[in-house]
Amino acid sequence: MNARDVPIDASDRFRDVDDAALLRFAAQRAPGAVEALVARHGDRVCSFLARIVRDPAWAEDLTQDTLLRALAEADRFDARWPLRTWLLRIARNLAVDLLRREQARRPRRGRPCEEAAPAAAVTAEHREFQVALERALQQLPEEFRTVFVLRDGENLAYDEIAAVLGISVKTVSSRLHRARQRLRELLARHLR
Amino acid sequence: MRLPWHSECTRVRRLASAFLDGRLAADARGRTQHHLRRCPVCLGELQHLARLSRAMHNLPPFRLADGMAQRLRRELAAPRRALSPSPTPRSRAVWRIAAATVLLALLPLAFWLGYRDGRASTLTPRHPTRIAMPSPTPTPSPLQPPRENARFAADRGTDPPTDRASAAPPRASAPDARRRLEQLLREMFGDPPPRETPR
Repeated sequence: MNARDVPIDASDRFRDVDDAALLRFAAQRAPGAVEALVARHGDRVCSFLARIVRDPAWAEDLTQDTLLRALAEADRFDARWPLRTWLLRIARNLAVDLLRREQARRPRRGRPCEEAAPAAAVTAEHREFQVALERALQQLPEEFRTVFVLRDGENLAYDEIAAVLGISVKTVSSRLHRARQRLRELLARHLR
Repeated sequence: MRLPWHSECTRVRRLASAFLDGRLAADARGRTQHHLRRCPVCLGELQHLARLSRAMHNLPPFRLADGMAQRLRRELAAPRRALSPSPTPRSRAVWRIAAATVLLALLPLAFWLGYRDGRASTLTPRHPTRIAMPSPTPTPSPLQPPRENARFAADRGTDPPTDRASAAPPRASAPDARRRLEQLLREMFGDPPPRETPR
């Protein structure tokens, strides 16, 4: 729970409210609902975006756009799917739009995601592998990178990934296999 | 049927990702497990993939900066921003295709209009009688015989039988002076190259 934005009483009010109801409350500007929505999903959406657009500042802006769009179009949310899947779908589409605009404007500089704070218990060797993995991720094509991050980073099921990306489960499986194989090749030195 | 050893390795590596995620059917999973117990190379490959997955899962998360909820509240309280019609790339593509179709449909019309206007203003008309030219002189009919060459007419000591000359008033207007000058130049240097615009 992210308590930076949320007063204790406001976050408590929505602790037991499910995601669909929380989205409705937030769309109706109920006091504390927006804060609870940000606390529940903001960091996950931001982490996903940071690894897709490869820039924490862009990820922050896109997270705000994602949540704004979700609140503006809350009545279009299909409650059969988890809210996180819907948010990631919006986030991914916004990220793709941004990447296309930026690619047209200037070539990517491949800035590493250095703002990720390592956990305290991580060893130096493990951290080195994580940094290498971040760099290798940047070399993957966007569609492979997204599938890998959604599966192994966000722990989404295959059908949820298919829903986020609007592709078939078979395509998800194929892209995931190719993404992992490519990463294994890129990280061969670290995996020995 | 049993595949050769290397073919079995190829099959297992192709299925390794799905095996890791528990996506294989029972018989394929059993066959893969059987191969992995006997092939350390394939087992090593699978362990590499598993390590990749674990590392990705354990990457430190990004944290939103403070004040995101306040920023959202400010945006929500402000007049509604003009959102794009749809955030999905697929919808954008549909809009692009529709715009391209409309442009393609309008292209022949624009070309025809431009061609018609161009014929009326700059190009030599194929059918001058069909085009209303803002000229004070009557337009020669294409059925009339071609105008006699002025140099040959001058050799015979006669003026070229131009309609304009017969229709011009007797006073020395600017067009008359210009025509006389052109005639003089023709007599001195011969016929000028053909003009593109009708006079």
